[in-house]
Amino acid sequence: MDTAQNTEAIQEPAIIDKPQLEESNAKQKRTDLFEKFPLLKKIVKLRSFQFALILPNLAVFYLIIIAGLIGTPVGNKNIAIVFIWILWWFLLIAIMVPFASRIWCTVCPLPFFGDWAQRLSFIKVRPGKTGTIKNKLYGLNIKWPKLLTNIWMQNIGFLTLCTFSALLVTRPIVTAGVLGGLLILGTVLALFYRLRSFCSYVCPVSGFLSLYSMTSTMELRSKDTDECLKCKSKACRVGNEDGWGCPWFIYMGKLERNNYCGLCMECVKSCPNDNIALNLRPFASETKIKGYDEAWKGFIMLALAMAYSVILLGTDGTIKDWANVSETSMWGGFAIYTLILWSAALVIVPAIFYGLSILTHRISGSTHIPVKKIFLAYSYVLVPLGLIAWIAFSIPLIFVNGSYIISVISDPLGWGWDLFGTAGFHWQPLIPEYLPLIQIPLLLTGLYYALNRGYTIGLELFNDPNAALKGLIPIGIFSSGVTFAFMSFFIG
Amino acid sequence: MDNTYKTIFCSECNKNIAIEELENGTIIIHCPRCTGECVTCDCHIVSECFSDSPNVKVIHDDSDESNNATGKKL
Repeated sequence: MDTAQNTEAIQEPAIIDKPQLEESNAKQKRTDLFEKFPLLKKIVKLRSFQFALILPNLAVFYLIIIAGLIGTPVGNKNIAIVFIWILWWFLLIAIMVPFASRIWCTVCPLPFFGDWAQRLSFIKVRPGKTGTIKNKLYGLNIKWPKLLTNIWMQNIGFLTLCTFSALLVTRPIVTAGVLGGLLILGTVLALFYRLRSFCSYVCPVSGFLSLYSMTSTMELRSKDTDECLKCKSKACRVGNEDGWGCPWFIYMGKLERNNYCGLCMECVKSCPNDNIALNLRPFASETKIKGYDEAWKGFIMLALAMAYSVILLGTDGTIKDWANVSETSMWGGFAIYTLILWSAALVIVPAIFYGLSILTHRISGSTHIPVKKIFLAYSYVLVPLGLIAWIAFSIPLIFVNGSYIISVISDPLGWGWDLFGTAGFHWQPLIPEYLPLIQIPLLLTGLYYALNRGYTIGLELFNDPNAALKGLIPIGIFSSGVTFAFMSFFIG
Repeated sequence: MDNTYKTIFCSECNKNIAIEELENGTIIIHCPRCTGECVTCDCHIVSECFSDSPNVKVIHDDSDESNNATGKKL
């Protein structure tokens, strides 16, 4: 392993594109959890760390699929629906993503068999050579098609799942089918394509995790990028005898964002310079949207949050009937609902945002900045806004329906069991009349971060506080409108 | 000043980009656009980065602009 300094003529190259404003400011506000809690680092460095977390999760996952396939079709009596669409979803969107980035990916069971097929090992590392990776890997190790090296597949996949959400979140067998299908797909893709191609390019959950993890208060980064420049092995990326090469194709020496780091912690093990930190940082520290696929993810998530608020919380049951096509057989209505959903997510919301970008372009006075650049940069505003809107939307899930978790633990298949004596626990919504008191401050917090980060983005774009302030007006009005629209849905 | 270093030519940037040879035989391209996210890297020479590339060439440059795309003398 490399620890030697480079004594040759090649010196450390400077980087013209220094990390942007938010990175340099935010670097001052990092707390390395590995330094604060050395035991945590010791645990993470264990080769058995990830396996020990995934295995019980895999067992629960297996139970959920079985329950979905053979358990009761009544949603609130089946662990598949209750655990996935009430418990897991709430924990994911309200706790894991905002506070621990892509920590779900650390324990996700979907790539388990694919990883095993590639590594032929649950714990041990195999040094060797497979393509660019300095580990012995099995499978065909084909590079993912360049045209698809983005999150568009994930965008469309997620939108497709959400179109059928009325079935997905109420029919245990549909949930089991989707989860089982993703497990099989992840395994098959791992046999053909290299590393975590499924996670990086296909998994619909990964898609929104990648965008919303930008807000997270946790990050995994190199402690000192100069150490990374000097490192002659780049083992974080290519692996060595201590750790697998990054399954997410991340080079820690340059990593600036959470988007594509699945927190597998292999780099913590493989880094020859002990140069990886697990940092706490301020909420919404990253603001750089790199491509239109990411921007569109923001539009899709926001449009879906609004759509679900209308469908599930609105007074008109017609759209709900259209969405629930397997019960109502209103296929014409379902087609209209699908058209509205997809056009809102892919066309209408982006078009509105583009119009706002044009206004920003004019109002800011910085007409030398292309509109497309403004559009892309400001699309980040929808990230904290959208995430917190989703959290606010999900609050009733756990407060109103959380009591089902208690009963379903004792009777996971809805067969009349009573394993732990809680099967008879009745449905008890928790403080439903006070939920708006939680949702409204949340939404206002989302609006605050949207406006605050929007101003920061403006400063970076225009280099002028006045222009940044003026430029924020159109998007600020839009964000405020969206926030108050959500409030009206939630308050009624 | 005499500077000799290894590069790889990027037809998108139309210039020679400095590379670094790692001890394990791979090369890494010091592209100023690099963000460490190889998963979605759209760099023209992404297939060369972290590879065992035969396309490396050594250039000898006496000019003041021996800075490559990274902007510093190597």
